[in-house]
Amino acid sequence: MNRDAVRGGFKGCCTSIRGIAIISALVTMMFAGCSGKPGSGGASASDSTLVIAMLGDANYLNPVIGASVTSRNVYGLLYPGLLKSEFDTTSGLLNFVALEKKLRGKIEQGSGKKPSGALARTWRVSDDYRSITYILRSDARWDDGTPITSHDFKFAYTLYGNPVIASPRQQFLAELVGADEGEIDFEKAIETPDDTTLVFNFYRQVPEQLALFHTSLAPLPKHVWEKVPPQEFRHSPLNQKPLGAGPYVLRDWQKQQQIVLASNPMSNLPKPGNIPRIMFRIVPDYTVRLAQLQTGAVDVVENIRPEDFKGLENAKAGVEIKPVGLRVYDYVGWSNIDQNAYRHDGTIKPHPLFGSAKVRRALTLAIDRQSILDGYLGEYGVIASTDISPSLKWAYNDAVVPYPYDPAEAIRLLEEEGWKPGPDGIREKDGRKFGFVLFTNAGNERRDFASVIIQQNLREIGIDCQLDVQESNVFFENLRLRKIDAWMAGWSIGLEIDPLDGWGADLEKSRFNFTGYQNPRIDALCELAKAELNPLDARPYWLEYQEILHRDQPTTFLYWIKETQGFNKRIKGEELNILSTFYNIDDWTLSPSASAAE
Amino acid sequence: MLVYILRRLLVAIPLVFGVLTLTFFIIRLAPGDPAALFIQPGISPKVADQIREQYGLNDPLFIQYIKWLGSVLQGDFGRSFSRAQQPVFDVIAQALPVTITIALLALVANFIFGIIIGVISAVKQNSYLDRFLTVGALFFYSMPEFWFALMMIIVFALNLQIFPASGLNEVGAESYGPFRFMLDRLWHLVLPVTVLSINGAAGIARYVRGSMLEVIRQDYIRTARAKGLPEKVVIIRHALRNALLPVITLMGGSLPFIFSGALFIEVIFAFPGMGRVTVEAIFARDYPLIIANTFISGTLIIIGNLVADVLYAVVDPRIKL
Repeated sequence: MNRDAVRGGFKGCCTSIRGIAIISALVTMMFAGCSGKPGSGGASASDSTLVIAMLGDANYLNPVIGASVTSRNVYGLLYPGLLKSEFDTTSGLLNFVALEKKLRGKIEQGSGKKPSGALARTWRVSDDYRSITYILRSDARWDDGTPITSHDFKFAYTLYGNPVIASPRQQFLAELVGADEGEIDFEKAIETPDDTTLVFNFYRQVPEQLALFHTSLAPLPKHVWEKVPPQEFRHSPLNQKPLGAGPYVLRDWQKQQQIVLASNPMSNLPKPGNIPRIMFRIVPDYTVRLAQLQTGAVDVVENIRPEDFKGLENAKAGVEIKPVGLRVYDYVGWSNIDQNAYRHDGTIKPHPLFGSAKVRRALTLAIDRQSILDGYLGEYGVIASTDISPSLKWAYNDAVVPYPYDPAEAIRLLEEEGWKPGPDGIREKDGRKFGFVLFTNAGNERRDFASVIIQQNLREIGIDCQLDVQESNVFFENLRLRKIDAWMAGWSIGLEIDPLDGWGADLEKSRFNFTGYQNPRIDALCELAKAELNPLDARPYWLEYQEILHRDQPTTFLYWIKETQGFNKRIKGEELNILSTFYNIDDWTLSPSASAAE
Repeated sequence: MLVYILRRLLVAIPLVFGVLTLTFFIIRLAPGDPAALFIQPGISPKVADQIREQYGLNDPLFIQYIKWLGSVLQGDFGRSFSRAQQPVFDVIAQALPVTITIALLALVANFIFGIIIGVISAVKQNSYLDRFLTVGALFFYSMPEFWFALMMIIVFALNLQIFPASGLNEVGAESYGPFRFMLDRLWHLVLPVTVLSINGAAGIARYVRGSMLEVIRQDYIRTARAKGLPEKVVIIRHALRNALLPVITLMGGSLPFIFSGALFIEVIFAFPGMGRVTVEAIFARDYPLIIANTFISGTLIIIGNLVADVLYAVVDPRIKL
């Protein structure tokens, strides 16, 4: 019996060899058919489909719980907004627009982006700044034909605020009535006298800018979602087929592969998208995304590294690189306080190495930030002086000039502080060597590049800096638990300036004050700025804020990064800004047959 | 033999359980937090806590273990943290077909090319052909897979533009007929399967060569030749059949690979397979998904070994179970 089995197996093997021959013949034929026309998707499909390469998939296509970058890009096209936001590049302020009203300036007729996607016709802030009333348009409908009413907004806000749902956007509800006492009273906080009137009531005075920002979260269709109990909200099958009203509808979502949107012919918010189909393809590997941009297999790739620009210039598919504003910066964080002592019993004393502002200034002076820029980011980086971005012109302090690269001055400051060279060239003070480990998170080439230069710069003034790379989860947990004395990381800023989380003197409350920097004046300035009803009136406070940070150097601010996005030249009409690469994607068009497929 | 198989399977149950328990504690004690995504500026500090509450991570570790044990015994491995709270086996069911397709194609190619190359270099031992094949096999065997994959993409997708660089199908493939759709899918599989099989075949070729050389020197081969059988029959019928015995163990050992996925290949070619599911689950600290994956791969390793042992007994009458 066994012998038969062997023979049978053998015959099978021979047949399969024959089979392979046939398959390979087939495959050869197939290539013969395909090779003449790379990207054989057929000209028609690719001419009407915009392909965007994304690093990762969306988690939810639901504005209440969607948290990933892809989620936000996609649900922004599916769901309507109460207001449209604009970024005013001359002032650097976020502006809000309804159909008939604009926060600052006048609605321009004719050219430019029209606010016709907004659900609000207009709004009015009460005289005591404790409530805001929106008048909604009456011609807006969900894709199933049901009118969009004020009740949909109120319903959505109860979901945003529900602790069981745990929406990452709860912070937007922080000023509503009841929030100060721990639980929002939705009956009092949001009123809906009729279908087109929506009133938000606050427990305190709220500046108009902030009120608009915090009350303009996307609505959800109440008639569809109200039957879903909160504990099932996150895994409801409705998340797989979202009912929206925006310029696009979801056609297909293959997890970890692609999300396909089709232009929504029903939409009047603002109109059906110009490009018939938009496909978000998940391509985790950067080199592959880049190769596909070069061949024209994808049209948009975000965050192209400067070293790849040259290769893209010669790409077969015409590619152009577009930079967006300065929202991201890298920095080297120094523990201002002795983290061990603080962890141990909460005592606050200066860090033995980095506790003095003079030493921290010396470290900044010793780091050749221009060399890091020249070697990596080139013209797509700007040396940073504080954490207020030069793009936020209304608040940026031009008078604060970044410290130059000046090792001699750095040495002078260190000597003044008592750090003298030891026998091995490493500086010492009271028997303690100036040596530490600089931690960073794994997988960021830019930071790897910068950290090597920093190590060398510090060595030149007699400081021993060892480098250590940790897996991102571990790195951020160690930061949070204050186990790291020196580190390099990045920070992406919001467009509303609110830095107390990062510098507040109450270290338990300021979750991101990893340095332990404490300066009561900074807290006071942030509170004063927040209390101003017109953001422009807060400018003097922010100017002083920057002077103080520059003087105290709680961290060494390295450089602002211009994110650079690659576009196939067949895309026309894109207007990217600091808000998003896909800011006006529903207005983009594709010029036919300009793709790589020749 | 049936009794043997049953006994082995029974022993496997506590083994799998031990592995799962160990995994449960190791991943929970490792640094990192499944709610870490929600600890960032602009997100209320309450959110991370609410998320942890939902996942039951605020309970003491021991209570978590008891609860987990209770549901696992009922066959419920829970819902994924990081993938929209889908039941973990749904996540795995979506990823498995992709992984199995690639792995099966790669395995078939592995063994066919591996055996052919191995036999040729054994029969022509020490010839130039043998040396060429041996050096070639070692060359490919020692090449890092991800690098090889990227080189293939640069040559075939970027410069020659013959094959696509990533994805399972072309843009707009949904509108194709079934035949054209299949062809398109195969066309997308050429590069990844080539990379995987060149690497694997090289290893198998070394095994086959070694075992073939041993068999060729046996008395019964000399007998076969002495009978006046043609050389082709001697090699294929008499020698190869016996030389393949150790290769069968390799086949059993490849079973987990079929289901666990090839991480680098999946990341580089953007295939949503098991390798990516596993690694992304680890990075996101998605505990239920990590445990479900461990369960699957652990079980498969055990079954794979069992299959190898049984196959061995089936093909080699000298071995009794």
